[in-house]
Amino acid sequence: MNLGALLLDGVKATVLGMATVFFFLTLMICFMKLLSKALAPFSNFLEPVAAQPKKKAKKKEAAGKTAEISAEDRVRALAAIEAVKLFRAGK
Amino acid sequence: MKIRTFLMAFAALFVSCVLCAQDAALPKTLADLQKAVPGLVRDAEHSTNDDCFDWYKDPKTGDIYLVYVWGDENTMASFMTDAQNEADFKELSGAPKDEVASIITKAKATVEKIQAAKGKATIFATWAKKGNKLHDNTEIMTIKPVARSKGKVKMAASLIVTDLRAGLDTATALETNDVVGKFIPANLYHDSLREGSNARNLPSFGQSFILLGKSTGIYDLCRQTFQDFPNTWMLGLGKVIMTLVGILLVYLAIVKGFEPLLLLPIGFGSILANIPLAGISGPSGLQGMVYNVGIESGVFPLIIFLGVGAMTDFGPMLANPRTALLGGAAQFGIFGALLGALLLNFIPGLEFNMKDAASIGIIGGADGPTAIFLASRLSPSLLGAIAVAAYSYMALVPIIQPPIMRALTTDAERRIKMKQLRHVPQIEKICFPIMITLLCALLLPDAAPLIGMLMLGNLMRECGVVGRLTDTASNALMNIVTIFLGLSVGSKLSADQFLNAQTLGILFLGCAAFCIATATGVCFAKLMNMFSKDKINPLIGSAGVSAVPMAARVSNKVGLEYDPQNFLLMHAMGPNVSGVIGSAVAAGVLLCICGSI
Repeated sequence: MNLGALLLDGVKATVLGMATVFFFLTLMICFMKLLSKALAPFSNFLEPVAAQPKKKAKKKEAAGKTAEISAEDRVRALAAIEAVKLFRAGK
Repeated sequence: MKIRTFLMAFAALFVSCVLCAQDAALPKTLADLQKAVPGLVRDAEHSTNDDCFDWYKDPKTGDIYLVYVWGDENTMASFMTDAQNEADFKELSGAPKDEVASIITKAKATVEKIQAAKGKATIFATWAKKGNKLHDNTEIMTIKPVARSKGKVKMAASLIVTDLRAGLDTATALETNDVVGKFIPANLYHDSLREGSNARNLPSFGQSFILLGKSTGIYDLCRQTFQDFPNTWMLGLGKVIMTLVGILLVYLAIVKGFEPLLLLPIGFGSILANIPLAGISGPSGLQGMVYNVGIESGVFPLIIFLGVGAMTDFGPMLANPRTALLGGAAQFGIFGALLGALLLNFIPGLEFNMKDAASIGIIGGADGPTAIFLASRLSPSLLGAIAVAAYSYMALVPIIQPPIMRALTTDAERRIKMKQLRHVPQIEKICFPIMITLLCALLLPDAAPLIGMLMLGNLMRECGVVGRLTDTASNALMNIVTIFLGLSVGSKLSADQFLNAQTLGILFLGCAAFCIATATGVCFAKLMNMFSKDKINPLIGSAGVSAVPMAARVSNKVGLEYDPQNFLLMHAMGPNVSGVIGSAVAAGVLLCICGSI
């Protein structure tokens, strides 16, 4: 076996291999950058997960408001009941 | 008293087995055969002009005989005199001397004398048995002739074994012109029997006792070890050593936690493969069949890549694309180890050709499936050592990398804080795997199987509509394949394939490859900092070796040692996942270059 020729083959494979790896990855980086720019207007497309919490938050807010109103009503109702009781007692 | 009696009986059995004479059913050599079978001719119909074996035919009965001819003076002469054309003959006579033959003197168109090499071969495994029906491509034995590589002997025709050479077993030797067996051509056969023709009695008590003795592992280990100790010790004693190696791997997996998911089945697979007489790793054994289906075909590494894709988030790389270059720089470990393997040829006793060197180099990619994929295609005989080295060093990443990272960086560099990564929209993550697959298909189709499966897994994960498939690919399927992958890699840890100087060389080069990959990743990050405003913490360069996510975790851990607020994990995931792509691309290049040799 000619070791010199074998080593030369090894160097060729190294140069060719590293060049291909870097070329592929550089091209991949360029395409990734292009992709992010091209898809920027559609960034909210296919993102239902992000939209859902807002709806839930709204529902929670609405539910909270309903609870507050009913509490006020309850106080008013209690006050009215007390007033009626006092009125009936002749006070 | 009982124990002593038992031991004496056992010793008597053992001695009787060892001393048991083999009966000779076939003529032993070609000369004997020619005397026994008058009119024997060379069988041109079955002959493939092989220089190790030849076929002879009895024209009266149609029986054919397989004869081992490597180094046969007559055969070599007939090969030489086949060159009828004078020009061809001159070319032959001018050829340099090699281990096959050397022409001492010559006359025009005649060969006066050919010095034949010693034609002995050691049998490493036999699978043929008397009465077997052999089909095309059936493996019948593995032999290692002197001055030639070890090789599997496969049938190239449909035959029935009617008789086999007595004592044709592992560790026995074939001399030039030894008759291996007697066969009859069989284009059609069936298993219908005449009534009563299947009634057979057991052999006598004594013969049964001897048969039982010969079927013990101890007998087989002793027989193979001492048959021809310098050539066959590895088939007996070597199996014991490899069983201990298997136990060591199981220990490392259970006690030390080194890649237990793979080292445990590999270690136990090694124990199973080295059980004498069981033939579990043979072509009809479980490990052998799984190996043929999953590794030889290249299916298992690809399915593993599908699972890896289904578990990998390419978001950090998409958020900061330039870190992908660090994954490329770390691939220098692959080619550094390739050159190292070729340099090892200067050491007497070590011989690696280009394909071997490429298979060893891929260990530096720190990517087990890629290493197995490439080695199974370029150097299947080195697969066991390469797989063990790849997975062992992957498990040792937290020990190997930090000292190199510290040695190549300053304190200030280790404290560099990187910019917060941007949010990557889902649409971008969905388009990325499709884009990379197309890019690979256009530029490097040899890497397409690996990258294609990785990207399919990732697409399933990111699209969000095939949750069940993603779950299966990343859990159930991955786990099933991991078990079989480990077992079939373990089958390659048989003593005759593992116990040699090459394995030591591979283990050394694997470690060197990891160190080179780590160092080049860190140095490339420092180089990028010289030309960039947004500084990169060089510690993430070491994550370019594609041991996902362990290498990224190591970068994060070392970074936190110097600044507890500096979380590098997500930044390191960029080079880490690009390292997976980079090593697959490097494997594709090596497959393309070396596959054509």
